[in-house]
Amino acid sequence: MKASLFAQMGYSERHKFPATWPVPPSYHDPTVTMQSYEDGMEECELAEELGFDWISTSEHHYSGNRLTPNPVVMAAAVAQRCKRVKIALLGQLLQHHNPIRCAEEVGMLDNLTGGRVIMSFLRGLASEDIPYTMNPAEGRGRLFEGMDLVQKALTEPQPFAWEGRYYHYRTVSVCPQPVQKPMPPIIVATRSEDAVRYAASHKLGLAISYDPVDQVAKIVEKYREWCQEAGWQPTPDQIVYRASILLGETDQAAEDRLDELKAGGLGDRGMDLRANVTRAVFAARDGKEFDRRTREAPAAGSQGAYQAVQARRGLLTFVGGPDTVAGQLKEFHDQCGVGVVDLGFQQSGTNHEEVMKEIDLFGREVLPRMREF
Amino acid sequence: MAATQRAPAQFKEGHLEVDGFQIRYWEAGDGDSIIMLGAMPWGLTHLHHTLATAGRVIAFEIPGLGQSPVNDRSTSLKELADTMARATAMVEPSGHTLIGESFGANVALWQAIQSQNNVEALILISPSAILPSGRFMAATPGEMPSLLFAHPENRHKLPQLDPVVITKEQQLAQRLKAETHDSEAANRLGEIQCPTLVVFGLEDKIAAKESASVYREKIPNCNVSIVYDAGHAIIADRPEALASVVSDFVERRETFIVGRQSGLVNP
Repeated sequence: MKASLFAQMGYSERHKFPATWPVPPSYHDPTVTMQSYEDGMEECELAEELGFDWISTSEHHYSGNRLTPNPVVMAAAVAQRCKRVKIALLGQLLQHHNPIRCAEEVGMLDNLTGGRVIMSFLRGLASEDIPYTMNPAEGRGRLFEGMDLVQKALTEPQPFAWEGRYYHYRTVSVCPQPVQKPMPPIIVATRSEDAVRYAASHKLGLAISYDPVDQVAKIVEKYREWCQEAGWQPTPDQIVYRASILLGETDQAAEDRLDELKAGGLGDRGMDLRANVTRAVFAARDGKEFDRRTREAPAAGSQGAYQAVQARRGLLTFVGGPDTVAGQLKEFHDQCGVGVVDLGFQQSGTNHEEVMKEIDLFGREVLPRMREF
Repeated sequence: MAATQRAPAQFKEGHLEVDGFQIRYWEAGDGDSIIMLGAMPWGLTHLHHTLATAGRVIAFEIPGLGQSPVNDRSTSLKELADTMARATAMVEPSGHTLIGESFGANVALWQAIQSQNNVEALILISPSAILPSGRFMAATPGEMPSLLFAHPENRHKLPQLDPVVITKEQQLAQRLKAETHDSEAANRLGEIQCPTLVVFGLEDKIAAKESASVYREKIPNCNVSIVYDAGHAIIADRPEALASVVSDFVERRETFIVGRQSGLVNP
């Protein structure tokens, strides 16, 4: 089993953020931001030194819990400091962007890193549908078409035109082409059935975030079935699980620290949308008109995703000392076939020094055990 | 908004007797009530007509503005807002969206603070109540038209302003201290509980557009919209853009941040 550090690049004073999204820019002090990036870079360097296999960056907007609205910029910076690890863009909100631009950026990054890039695409939280004013009803269609277009743009040897539903280009000729052939690995980050099917039918990897082991096992089981139908089986590197971790020297130390964090309000701040805005996003995702006068729960089609997001907020999947955490990781490996675990060590109340200690402890005590399964 | 597919509404003029004033108003459309406070210097605009396709619009001429007689009776913006609240209650006794533009926005702000129960949503267009530098730009009646627009040529899209009216309105604004920072209103912004939209033109030379962040920070449920390439008179510089954002907020309130324009190229 491989380990990935989720390079959250959290603003170090994120515990001062208001609860609601978006976090006003006035909460950000550039001095703190610069130090937060530097702290994050140190965490990446330590992880590489200790033998982590991947470092991942994500795309999040308007908060600062993750200072990475553009994961490619972050990945390029990390890649200059970390020369061995795979760099995973886990993931990009492709539906908001120009897929050709994304393909060009991946082409550049794969060359700059000597072929270490892993791509990943996802829809994201309700708040992720808002920054670029995309109609949430079209997010799924834009994501699927965008992924098809990125793959074509990264592999087609001659210029071509694209007449899509959402994208329309009369000349596409991406340069530079990536180092990895036919292209860097792609992972679809999702728990939605249609996106899992897409991943299986296109022979792409699957990433699942924060769900408990039994839920992950069910999703992976379906994914494997659909991969079988498509005539292939995923490698361990194509089943990725992202989770939060709180690692202590002992179980008791981890539990004590967890209690302290809970007392301070565990869970990212600056994430809450107004309730009716959340309902409006999910209604739109279901293709339904939203009446602001209603106070109904999200429509049935989105309830799973909505409830999952609400239920997982602030929860830590892996908590304990090295033995316990190694056992928890083995469960995901054995029951779900997870081959790569992507771990976020930055919690709402933790500081850089604590995170460095945890990464160090993980590298010394947990990572060697992961190699055995 | 779907309602824009309807035929243009016909506005009818009416009058109300309130606090000794005879207040003129124009009304059109049906549905949820939208109360508009302004000087009406240019009469009914694209914004009025757009909103009247989606709701019942009642546009008041504030006493002392536009063609109304000199208002030497109101002693403060708060008192004038009370007068307008009473006028509003006569035509719409229950909940409504309240829109104010320029001086009318300052009156609407106080109406929202003082009559919160009935104001379900508040829209302030080019308000000048909050002036971080203390005063808004002083101008003579002759200078005023050129200061209103991002593009002076846009002044010709609307009826020419009467210098006599401008002088009358400026005197009222000075007497009610509407040209200076309203610290009491600033201190009470946090009392406004309804969804609020504050709109500024990026090139506004009269109101303090930098005050947008004050409204956003102090009003609990506030959105700010900046209209590109527009001055104080957004209705002249970018009428379609103004009508789009205002009508969308009237319909959807704070959920208007969720996009719904299709990006479909071909099915």
